[in-house]
Amino acid sequence: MNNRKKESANSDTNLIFNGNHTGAARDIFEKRMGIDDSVINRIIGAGLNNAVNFVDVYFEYGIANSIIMEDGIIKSSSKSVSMGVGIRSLKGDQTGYAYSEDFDIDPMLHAAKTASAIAANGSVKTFDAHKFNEKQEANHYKISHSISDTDIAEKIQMIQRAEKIAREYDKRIEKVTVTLADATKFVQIYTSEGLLLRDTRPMFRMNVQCIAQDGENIQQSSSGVGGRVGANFLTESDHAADLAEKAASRAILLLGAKQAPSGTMPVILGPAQSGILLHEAVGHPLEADFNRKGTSAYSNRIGEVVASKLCTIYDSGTVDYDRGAINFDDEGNSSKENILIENGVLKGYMHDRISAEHFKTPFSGNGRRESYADYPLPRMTTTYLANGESEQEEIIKAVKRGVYCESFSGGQVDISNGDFVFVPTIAYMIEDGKLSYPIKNFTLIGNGPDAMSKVTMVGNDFAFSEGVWTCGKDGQSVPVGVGLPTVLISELTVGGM
Amino acid sequence: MTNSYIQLAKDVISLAKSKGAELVSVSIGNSRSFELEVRNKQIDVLKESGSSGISISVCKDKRHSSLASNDLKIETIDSLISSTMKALPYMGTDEFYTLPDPSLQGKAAGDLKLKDGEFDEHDSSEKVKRTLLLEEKTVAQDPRVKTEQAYHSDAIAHEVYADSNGFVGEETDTFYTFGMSALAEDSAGKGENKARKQTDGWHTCSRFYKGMEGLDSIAQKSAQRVLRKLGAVKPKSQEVPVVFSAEMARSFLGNIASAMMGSNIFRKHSFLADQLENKIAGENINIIDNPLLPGRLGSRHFDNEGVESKPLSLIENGVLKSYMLSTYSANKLNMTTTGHASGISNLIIEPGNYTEEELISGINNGLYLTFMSGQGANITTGDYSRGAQGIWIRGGKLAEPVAEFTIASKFIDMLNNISMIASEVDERSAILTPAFKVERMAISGQ
Repeated sequence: MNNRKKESANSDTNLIFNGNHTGAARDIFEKRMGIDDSVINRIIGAGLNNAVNFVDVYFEYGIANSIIMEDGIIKSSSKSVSMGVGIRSLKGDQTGYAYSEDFDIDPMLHAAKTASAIAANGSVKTFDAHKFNEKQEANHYKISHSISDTDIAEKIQMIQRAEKIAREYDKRIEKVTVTLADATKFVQIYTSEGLLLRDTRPMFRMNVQCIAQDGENIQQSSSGVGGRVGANFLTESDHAADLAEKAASRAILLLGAKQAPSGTMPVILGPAQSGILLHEAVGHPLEADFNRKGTSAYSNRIGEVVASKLCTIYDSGTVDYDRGAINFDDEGNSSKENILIENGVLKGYMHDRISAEHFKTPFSGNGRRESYADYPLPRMTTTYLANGESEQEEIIKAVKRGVYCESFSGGQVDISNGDFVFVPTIAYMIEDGKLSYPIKNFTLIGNGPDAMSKVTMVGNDFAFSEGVWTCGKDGQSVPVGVGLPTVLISELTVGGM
Repeated sequence: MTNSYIQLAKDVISLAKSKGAELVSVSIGNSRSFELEVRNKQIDVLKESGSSGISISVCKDKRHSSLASNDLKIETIDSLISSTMKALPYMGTDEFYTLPDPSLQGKAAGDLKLKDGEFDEHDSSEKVKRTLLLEEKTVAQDPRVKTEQAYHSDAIAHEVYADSNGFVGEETDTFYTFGMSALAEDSAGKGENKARKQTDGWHTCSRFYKGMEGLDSIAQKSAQRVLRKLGAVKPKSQEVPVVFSAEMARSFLGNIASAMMGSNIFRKHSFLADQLENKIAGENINIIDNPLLPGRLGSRHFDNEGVESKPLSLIENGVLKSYMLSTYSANKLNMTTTGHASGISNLIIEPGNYTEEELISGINNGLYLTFMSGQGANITTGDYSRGAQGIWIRGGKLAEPVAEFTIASKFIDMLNNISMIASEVDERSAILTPAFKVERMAISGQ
């Protein structure tokens, strides 16, 4: 709260994005906040000492907007600004971390010294001041206009259209809630190795939620769409109508759904959204922090068969405009397409800097964090299973009695033993090779390595999910993507009644 | 710091009013925290944080919007208020949005013991030493026990709330968590899962450094809890009685609390909507929310709309007596706020007279539930289906560990079939629960 004079010119919270993703970040941090090489050299110098072998400085400035419509009215809007700088000192596998929400030099130097306390006994190391060289990366979310700059009237029109279509879909639609949220995050990273990276990361998400009621029977369903997209996304397709119809029709469908059965049976995962299974069953246990610490069911198993031959699984931060896309990770390493499992054989883990150095393997671009207030961890980006050869129809035909899952509310995994759960929202019983009736109220439970070894058919209808997933780990949330073709798992436990 | 926050809150209210706002409310907070993780006799992560933030709601002509910033410079806040006021005409009119009735606002009397006066007296090297010792003592319990992590965290938080009614209040809270997550190889994993491991642990949680559970006790429980999971098998599908450990009872009661929140009631997101004064649970079920218990984790003098805290009876002898309401949800339901704009305070299910052993000893074939996972508790429809782990009960005794199965029922059936409630309460949360036994649930396994 000091230095009020200096920032008076810096307080404009209205963003006008000029289409230059690195230049926009430079404008914010260099021009508005006065962060230059000399400031960074002082901070890194304070964060290094004899025992610390690496320091990085992560600047972030974020603007987020949301609008909600409920009970037929535009109920409220909110706008938020968040800024901070996180400073990390590494000594081997050990992390020291502190952050400042103030870009004045003294609080930043204090944070750097606090972070360096991880090596409290090290004496001060001479740090050769760098001239930081900005590294240019491929841009996986090239946009000309930001949704954060889009006129509020235009956004409200889209919300109202979705609300009206959902409400009028069926007289049993009792309540409709529509939310539209956009965010823009400017990021600038410096490392003690002289690296400098800048990025502007857009994010958009629109959701429609419907409650359907028929007497005592109340059901809810929702639909969403989003990704790292620009203003053109809003007009290139009728998202409002698509989302409204999807949410409303699903809620009505659930009114007629029957209680799911209980027991072990074949389960078919429909394309796109079912990728959540990979995320839980395979993705999390292959994050390398669990493997460096030896706590995962996949630890020390590289080169072994851990899944059916039909499974080839990737994690990639390079899927253009996807919710999981990143140009570089939050420690400045390029995003990549990484193969995790190839024809059933475990090929590699997803790394942050600590685990990559631990395993002496190249960086995979998976060191991600929720914000400046968090240190990076190995995290997924967009996780997907490659196309197979079967037609979906032929996969369904192969099941005498089982369950077909179309969409999910989420999942969870126990890293150490590999047990995962995931909760379907729209699902059908399969009887004699055909989808028969919708079912509700159940959880699927399985064991990662076991379930993946029971993948007996893979479809040729691969699709990415609509860009709605958020992954939580150690209290940090990051946006992720998933993708999958139709997949048959010959046996999984269906937890109904 | 807090004095300057009170001044800032008042300045912001004047500023917003000068820009045309009729109703204004402001929360300003700052917190300081320390986190430590230890593994294999060395520090894995050491983190110090200091955060602050302001959130503001403005309303004019029954249209309202909100904003938030962690940049507390008045120029930034000024710019945010201006752009929020500009957006206001686009909002619909919402007659239900008001500030609380000023006669309900105030600070409950008495010292609730929310803050540890010794917070700054324990330096980080002492915490590091204790955490290293906890790891050492845990792995010393048994050669099979290894470390996932031992951890300590603490935080001190100040919060100021003020509004255009003229209410100004402030509160300071401290919290400590200290615990161990142990790991053990579980060679019983078969086929593709031959590298199976198990993790479990124990932690303590308190507002006071000296209120934390002792190190030896945490070490013993952590080791015992991970070892009892080794060799877990998948149980057969069947219907059996289920004993919810106190921790699992907490998860269940947390869902019931969500189902009683006004925001879920007026949105019809709850199976308890339109159920006031109806019998929804067995006669042995009494649930209250009491914000005035000194030293408890959920205690508070007022909620985050400045409404004075009071104990509230939610379920009495199985009858639903009240929802938990904020001013907005109360207005929507034509009721009066209960001071729950910030959610539950200390939510308590009245303990019974049994020991946990007595709950188990009456069961010939059943489940002692120790872990649940997944999003399968649907408070809208009242359906319940969760991933589970536990220990099978045979002939009144704990037998083999079980995993990779689900338990399923409906909330209403569970509330009406809690046949025995234990006396010992788990106090490590704002949700205070003893273990209880549910007469019948569906197990889905092999």
